Amino acid sequence: MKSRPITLKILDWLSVILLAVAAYLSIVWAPQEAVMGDVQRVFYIHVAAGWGGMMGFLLAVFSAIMYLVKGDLKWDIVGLAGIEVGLVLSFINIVSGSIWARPIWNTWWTWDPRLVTATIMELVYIAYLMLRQGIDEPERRARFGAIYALVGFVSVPLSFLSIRIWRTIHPVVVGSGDAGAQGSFDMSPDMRVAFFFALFTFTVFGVTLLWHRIRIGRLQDKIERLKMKITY
Amino acid sequence: MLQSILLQQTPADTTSFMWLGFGVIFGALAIHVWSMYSRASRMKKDLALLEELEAKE
Repeated sequence: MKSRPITLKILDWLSVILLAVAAYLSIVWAPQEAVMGDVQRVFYIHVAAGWGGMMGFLLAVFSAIMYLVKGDLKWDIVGLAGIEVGLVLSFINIVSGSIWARPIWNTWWTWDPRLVTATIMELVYIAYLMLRQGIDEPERRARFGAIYALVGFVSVPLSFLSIRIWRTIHPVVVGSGDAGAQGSFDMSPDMRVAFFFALFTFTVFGVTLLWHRIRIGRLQDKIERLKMKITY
Repeated sequence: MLQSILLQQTPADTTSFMWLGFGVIFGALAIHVWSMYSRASRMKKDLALLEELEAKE
């Protein structure tokens, strides 16, 4: 494996700095929300992680199309990276939301459309990783992965739009939501700074994670090819 | 007393949940980064071994 390119090294350090600043802006700099108190500060990273997760899944669907059109296995590696990073960031989004919900909704979990669709989305992509494990032949695995990623992506816009199209208690902070939402608040200018900075941070950090995961995928591919060469 | 119950004067004390939230967020990120680092190091070793085997053949 070649040493890290200079751009990736810069992205690594930039991600560390941006994450530290995003944490500072969320925990210290943004004003305390008048009703919910400090737990509202989780919101900035909660939304940003959700955004990063969707970015990963979007990359996976793009890679799936590219693989089906071109038939090049490198797109399978990119797609897998997108799904793994998307899963981790979506997991953070779901768990941080649950922690926020405990004091605000008085429960860790409720059968709300957003929570259910987000969890289904997570499970769909976990199943993708599990099913891939069962296929040894790389071309078959890549074809299966591409088609699954295309079909599984339906769960992503469904989860995103769930709070806008169904009755829900999940707040919609950007745009208008259901009147029955619990835990809504209007962002002050300082809160907006923390919010958009967190979104920017997770965009950069997401790209960095994806790049690293793609490099691991390439390395794994190289090992598999070498193993085949030695064995046969 | 009644007024403080009926009219919330100060924000709810939810600081411990905030710390729990940030702990989980950064903890999960740290585990993922460590997992990628660990997988990459293991694979580098495997690759070196395989290249050595290939050279011997």
